[in-house]
Amino acid sequence: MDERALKNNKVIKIIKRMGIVWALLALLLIMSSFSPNFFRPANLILILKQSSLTGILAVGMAMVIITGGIDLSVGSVLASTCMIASFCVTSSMSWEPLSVFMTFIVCLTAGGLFGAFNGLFVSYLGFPPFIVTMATLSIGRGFALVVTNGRSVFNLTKEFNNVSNTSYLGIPSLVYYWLVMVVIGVFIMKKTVLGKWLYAIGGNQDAARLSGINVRATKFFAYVISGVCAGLCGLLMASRTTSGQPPVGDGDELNAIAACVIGGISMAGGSGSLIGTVVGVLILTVISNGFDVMGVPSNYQRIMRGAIILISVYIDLTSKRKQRSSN
Amino acid sequence: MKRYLSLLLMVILALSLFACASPAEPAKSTGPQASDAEPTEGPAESKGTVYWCAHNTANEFSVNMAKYCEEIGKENGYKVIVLDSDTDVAKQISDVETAIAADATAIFIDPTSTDGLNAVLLSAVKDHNIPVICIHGGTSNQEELTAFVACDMFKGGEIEMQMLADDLDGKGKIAILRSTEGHDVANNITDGYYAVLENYPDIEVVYVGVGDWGADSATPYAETWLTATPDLNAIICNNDGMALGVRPVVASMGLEDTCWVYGLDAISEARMYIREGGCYKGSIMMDTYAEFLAGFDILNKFLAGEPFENKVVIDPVGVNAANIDELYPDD
Repeated sequence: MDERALKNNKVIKIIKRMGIVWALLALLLIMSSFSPNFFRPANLILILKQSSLTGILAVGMAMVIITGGIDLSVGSVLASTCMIASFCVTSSMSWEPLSVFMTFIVCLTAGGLFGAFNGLFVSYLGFPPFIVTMATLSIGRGFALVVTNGRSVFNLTKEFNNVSNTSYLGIPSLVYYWLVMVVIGVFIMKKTVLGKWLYAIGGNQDAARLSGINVRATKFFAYVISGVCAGLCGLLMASRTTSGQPPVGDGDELNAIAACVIGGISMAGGSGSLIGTVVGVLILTVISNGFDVMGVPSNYQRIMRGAIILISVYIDLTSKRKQRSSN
Repeated sequence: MKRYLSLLLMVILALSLFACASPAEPAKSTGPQASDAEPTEGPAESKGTVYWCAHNTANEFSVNMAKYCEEIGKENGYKVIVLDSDTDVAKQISDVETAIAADATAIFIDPTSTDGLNAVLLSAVKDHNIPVICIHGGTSNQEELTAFVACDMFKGGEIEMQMLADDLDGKGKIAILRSTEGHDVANNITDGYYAVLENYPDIEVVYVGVGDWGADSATPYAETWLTATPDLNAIICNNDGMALGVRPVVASMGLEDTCWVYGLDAISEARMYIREGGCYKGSIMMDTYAEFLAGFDILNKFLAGEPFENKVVIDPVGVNAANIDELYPDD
């Protein structure tokens, strides 16, 4: 088989495309060989569960980054909606607790409004995404602390607490929420015009505008989706902790960004996939869980995580350079 | 190109694992009791694995807690694995789940939240038969868990503020530097402050700041407060970490004789300054070594099916120049 034929071989292409999956499998193998506890079914299911909230945040984050933006506010929006959810369903207040369904509506709307705030400033007023979302990060965190006076809210209804703390067919409910969000995200990105516009804007915003794409509305949409994902995470977090905790979500935006980058989404926008992001989230969790199971101090995990992010970005940059030179 | 990623990831991970596989032996405890204890050999056969779900391991106090847990665990024949939640309730839930999935012999935990861990801890006890012993901090469903061993944080706050009130003869201007809003330990210590202040109407709280347990978060507050109000009589902090960020500001502004600093935890650096006799007037000894001794004693009894006390409260002790040599003779 000559070199050209080898390059065009379908199997080779699939293997190349699945590079990050091989990395995940290698991690699983290495961790399993170091700790017999790691590869137990209970621990593997736990890895999925521990990945879920970051995974949901990463769905929205991926869409924003693909447009060439960034959303630093998701951790704080998560904290705010966590508090909103807990206020909706607590029996410690003077009002009647809302139903779980209504709480979903309220939290997703609140998250969407935070996202719309970001989107308005970035898309329609031309503010840099880094600055706008950093401001929202501060506002969201402040909001979560102000409405509770820095105290946690508890006595949440049993129905609400079950949202994140139940299992179906042996799989924790959080994993299903993640799965649903990934399916919706992949559908938007792969099967709708909107998805193609998100890539087009990230690839070349001016060319996208000239070809008739509504750049502003599309970017606005990406931030709203990111806010909705954070809103959902806030609700799930309140249920997972069976309380409203103002400090939750601190730094979660960095985990979501890291998952996107490791999963192959370019920070410059225009390329990457949600499936890659899913694998990126799993890689981060496998490292964290594996080290925990082995009893390795958490500070080593930080070093490992930083190294992986750097390597991922390096590979992203070099592959882009290669593409440019081959064009 | 992504093939290189997988290769690099594997190489780095393998190297990291080899580097981390044999963590260094923990140094001998510097705690007051530990310094008197004879080093003992752990039993040849391990009784199982205890997971220490730490609040964090980011300062001397919490690092010492992890060290004490490992040390006393080893003496009692247990392997101890330390999981660091980094003061994040969601991460600590994951840590507990990790311990459950690994079939832990017991879970020792310093909860980051009074209410946020109830479901997962109850599940460990009820669904997986894993004893859960809260060390240093508690949860609101404490009576449903195996045991609770702690220094009373509220009382610690009360003693700290009482030391301040006594030193100021019950009147003066003070600033309070509490830690992260929303964290229950900080809430309890601060509530202790205000409980004492109710008895001292002539002590005016001029400023309240919110730090993050570290010196770097405290320094800017001290600079601002003392520049605006140089006649401030004292700054009281939720821990020594922050008080140690306040002390150099007070010293550099030449206010050591008029503005006093109080911390909590009695870590080694704070004890040094208390001995020096400058502006650092007092701290609180939270005897975490005694907490772990009690914790492992309870665990041994639990596993042996013997009766045990399921609530052990260790009183914090005020540390100042008058009693520091007595409390810490080996410093």
